[in-house]
Amino acid sequence: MKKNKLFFCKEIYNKNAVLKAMKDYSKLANFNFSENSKYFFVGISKERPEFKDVIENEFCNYVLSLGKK
Amino acid sequence: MFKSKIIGEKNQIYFQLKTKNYPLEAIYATAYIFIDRAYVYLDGDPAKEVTVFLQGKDELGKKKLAALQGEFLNELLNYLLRVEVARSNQKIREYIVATALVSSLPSQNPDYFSDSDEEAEAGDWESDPMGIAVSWEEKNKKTLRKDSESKTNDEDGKNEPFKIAVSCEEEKKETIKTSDERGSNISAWRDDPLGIAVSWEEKNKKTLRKTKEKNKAGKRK
Repeated sequence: MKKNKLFFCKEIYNKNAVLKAMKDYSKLANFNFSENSKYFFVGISKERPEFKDVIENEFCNYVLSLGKK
Repeated sequence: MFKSKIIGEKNQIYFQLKTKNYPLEAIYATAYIFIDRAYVYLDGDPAKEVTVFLQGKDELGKKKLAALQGEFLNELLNYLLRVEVARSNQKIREYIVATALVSSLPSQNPDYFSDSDEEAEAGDWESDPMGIAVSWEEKNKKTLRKDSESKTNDEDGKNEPFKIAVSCEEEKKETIKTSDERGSNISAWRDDPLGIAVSWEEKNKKTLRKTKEKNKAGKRK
């Protein structure tokens, strides 16, 4: 887990789950989505100050809960 | 024992799991269980090895992080067993479900409309909770009585609101008048070009005579 940029392995995480999580969290921060052959990249910026410490980890948990590959 | 690495600053522990021993389904299920207690992140190559990152939501020491890893592995074993049982029973489950579905089809099951159902239905309609089975006469007893009373009064000649009390002769006269007024339209059916209006006796006069003569001759003999 890197700060401000999250990596989701394509073979483990579902793309739809990542996109839905971005949509659901869109009120808490700004999200950018990109991908390469192995990973989905989610960039997080302008997050609300009260959620700044937890938003990345909570986002990872939420993506995991939404669905598997 | 599993090789794991604890990062105290991040309150995090991570370790690798070989997917040969632990299938990805079991890892997913276990990770889902730990979502409320820790931040879970998975990485790696599912064909070979998956790395599990566990980060405590509360601040945990090294011992507690190691205990968290142990709990994760125990839960993983639990789900591993479940996955194995599900795999071994898959064909039996499919067979049971298929037979259940096939037997529920009405065309395949002759007992679908059983006698017990018919009996139950018979009992139901006899009870008639909605009062539908009551006849029209029973429902409208009062109106029928009123009608019968009014008819008897008419027969006596006391009330004559309609033309019921008119005699038959008067009716005939009226009908003749109306037919004359209609004119040629009515005379058309009197013409009877197809000969339909002729009675059977008129048509078969000859045969009737012959049969009468025969009957008379038979009586004389």
